[in-house]
Amino acid sequence: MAGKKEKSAYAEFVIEAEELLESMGDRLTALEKDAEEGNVDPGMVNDFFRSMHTLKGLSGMLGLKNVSDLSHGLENLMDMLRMGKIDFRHGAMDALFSGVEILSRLVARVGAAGSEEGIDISAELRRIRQAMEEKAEGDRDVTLENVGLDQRILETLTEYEEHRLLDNLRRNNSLYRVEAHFPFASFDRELHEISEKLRSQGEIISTLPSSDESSPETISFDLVVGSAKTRKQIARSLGKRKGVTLHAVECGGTPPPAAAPASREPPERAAAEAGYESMTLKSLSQTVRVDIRKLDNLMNIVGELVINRTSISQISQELLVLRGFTGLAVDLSKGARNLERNLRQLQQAVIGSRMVPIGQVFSRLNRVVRKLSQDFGKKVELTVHGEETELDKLMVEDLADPLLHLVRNSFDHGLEAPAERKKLGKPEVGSIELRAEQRGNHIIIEIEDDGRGIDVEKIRKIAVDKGLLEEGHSADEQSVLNFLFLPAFSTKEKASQMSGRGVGLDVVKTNVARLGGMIDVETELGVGTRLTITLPITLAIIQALLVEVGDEHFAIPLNSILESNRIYKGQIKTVEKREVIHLRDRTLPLLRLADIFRIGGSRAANSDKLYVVVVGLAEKRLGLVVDSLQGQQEVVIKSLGEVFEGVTGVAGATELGDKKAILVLDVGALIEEATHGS
Amino acid sequence: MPPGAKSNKDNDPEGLDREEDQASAAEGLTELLGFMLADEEYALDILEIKEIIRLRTITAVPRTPDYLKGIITLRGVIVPVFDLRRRLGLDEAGHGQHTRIVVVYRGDEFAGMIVDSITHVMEVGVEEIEPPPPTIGTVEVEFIKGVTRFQERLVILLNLARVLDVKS
Ligand SMILES: Nc1ncnc2c1ncn2[C@@H]1O[C@H](COP(=O)(O)OP(=O)(O)O)[C@@H](O)[C@H]1O
Ligand SMILES: [Mg+2]
Repeated sequence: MAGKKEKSAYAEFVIEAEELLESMGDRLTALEKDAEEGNVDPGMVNDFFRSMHTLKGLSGMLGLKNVSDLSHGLENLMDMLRMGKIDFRHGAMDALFSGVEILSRLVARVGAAGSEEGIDISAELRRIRQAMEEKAEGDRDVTLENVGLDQRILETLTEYEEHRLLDNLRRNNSLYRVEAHFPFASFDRELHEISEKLRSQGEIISTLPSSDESSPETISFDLVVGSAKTRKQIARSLGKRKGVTLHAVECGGTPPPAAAPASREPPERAAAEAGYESMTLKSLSQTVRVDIRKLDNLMNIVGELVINRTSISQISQELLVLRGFTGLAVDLSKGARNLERNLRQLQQAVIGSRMVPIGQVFSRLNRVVRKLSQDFGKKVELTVHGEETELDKLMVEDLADPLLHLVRNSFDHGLEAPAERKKLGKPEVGSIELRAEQRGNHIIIEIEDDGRGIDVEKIRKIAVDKGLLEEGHSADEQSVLNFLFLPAFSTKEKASQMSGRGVGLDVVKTNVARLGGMIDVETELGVGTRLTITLPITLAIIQALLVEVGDEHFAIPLNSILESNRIYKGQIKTVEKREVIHLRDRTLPLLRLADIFRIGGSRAANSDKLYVVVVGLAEKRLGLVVDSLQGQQEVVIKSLGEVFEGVTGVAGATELGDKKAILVLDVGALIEEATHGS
Repeated sequence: MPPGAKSNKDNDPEGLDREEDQASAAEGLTELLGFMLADEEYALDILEIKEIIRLRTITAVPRTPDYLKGIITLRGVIVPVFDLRRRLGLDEAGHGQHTRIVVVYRGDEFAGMIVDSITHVMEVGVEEIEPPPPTIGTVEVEFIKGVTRFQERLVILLNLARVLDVKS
């Protein structure tokens, strides 16, 4: 019993820790870039620091000693960085990157095994200690002496705020003091507003409640701001506001003003910090974490509504036919249209709430590439486009590993060593590009490298050696490349640490297919390789093409349909007892649904004209022969349940408006069957 | 339902409801739903039944045994439908006006079973249910939980779990 409880405590922890590490990873990547440009965003540093602090607390509570020790070390390191006691140099950055990496592994370990055993952190702790010894130049070159701020304010600054102030001076930013008097009733909102405005112009170094009690109904603040902008620019951004005045602060030359009379008591200073904290908390709490199952349920309900909507629309159509365009019939039809529009919005909103940017995965990849490049001495630049593109949360998780495989392949098989690249006249630094983009109902993800490309002839030879291809067979380039997606097909003679075991592309293919997607490979010898993954945006509600075979109807997911054609019987050829047609330079195998599903009364069997729906999944193509096409419709896929568990070729069922269930085809399984089945 | 179908109720002045029936299974009354299949009366414990619906369009699922008729949707839920005659190895028959689908619980899911007609609900004492005799018409013994008599007729109690088990 106790064991069970503990396990669920870890489960919560793992979810939370993964989320924290994810966001820290993102921030690190951004920080590294900013640090190179000498322009570190202190907000980012603080976020990182806070996340690490939270992780330390969580793991400490659960007695996860390694996680808590390591996060404690990293927290300290980050603290020194944000205080300017050390610089964002390589030592520190590397310690942070590898620390976060080890933490992720520890957390994964805890999630999988319920213990931290087997992962050593002593090397990490040593690395952190070393990084902390790389002393920074510090704040010595500038001082507060000549800053024209009230002594009252200067004395209230925390060590960190003081450092931020000096850092602004060092970067030759101007200092401003914003004096604000707000009514008690609305001060939190108004303070929040001007803080946002000021943050867009520079950095808020400190927000201090001021003792200036000009009126009992107001509360006053001094905000110390550092910015590269002029006073005019900042004033413009603040706009005209009652009770807010902007003062420029002298930063050099002029002696400090006479000390202000009142010196502050510690409690008030605590209050100042508390005020600051509550402001940040407010913006943090705008995110709600929801169990994905709740969203699934919501999605199901919306699915039911979509079905009901369809039957109402149908009734209203019939009424228009029966009654003509009059009175209630017209009203109902209008109402149905409005309902349809609202439902579409609702559906979009629900789907939207499940969506997360794919950048989450991209930034993980960035870390991997960094590590690979360090370990193997190949220079790589990973460029990322479209990281804001959104996908269903569940899909993003399932994509992480496939993308990792592809990036590793690019790194290992694609990119040449720097010396070789130089000889070839290529830039020494290799490039891997990740692109994500939404096109209609699909997400396209591309992974492209400028490496050596894939040698089709070599693949052909291996295929012949493995007995997959007859000697001298004139298979076209695309079919040869398709061999790469077979299990255990590798061009590497020896397995290296990450590649050559042939567990890459076939796994990628299966995972992508499971998500209802397909994958294509394009390559040019000596120039590079591009893999393109096409995915539906979400899984539960799909667009489908309805087809008829005999008296039966089927739904085919639109995302796996490439085209549908009307063909003549005469176009069908028989190759090795299988029917095929030639379509756009490809030989397309045909599958008659009536045959494989034993459906009687199919017209396509004897008719001269028939319909072929060309479907594709991953790299394979297949033509499904049907009697007729019945148009497109949005459908909600449901499982057939346990009774039909072993049935192949059917992915699920859906209900049409008239309460009739129709089957949704499992395109992947049908293709598999057509290509492998005898 | 024929008059007197609930006659056992007369011996039960307390008017026990179903839950109490369960609780007091020892003193022994169960409610059964009777239905006809090929001129014989069968029954299921009423607690195994979710609802009874009229025949509706059943969508065939290819590549399944004959006795699986296909699927229907019941308020948005996909329900598999068994052809009970075929499942029990009886002759097939056309569907008529009295044909019904008995929807039963199957673990977390549901299943529908096509029957010729519904007869009535009967209350039977547990001790009146006997183990199945070695041969009973054409139906294999494995599908039968027991037999009982109700108003002088033989009623065959189905072993629902076994009937719905598609794995064997
Ligand atoms: N980006 C790429 N550039 C060049 N060749 C590649 C690339 N990606 C895959 N390949 C080729 O495809 C083969 C199969 O890849 P994979 O299935 O991942 O197996 P493995 O990496 O274990 O060899 C590799 O051996 C390699 O020849
Ligand atoms: Mg690989």
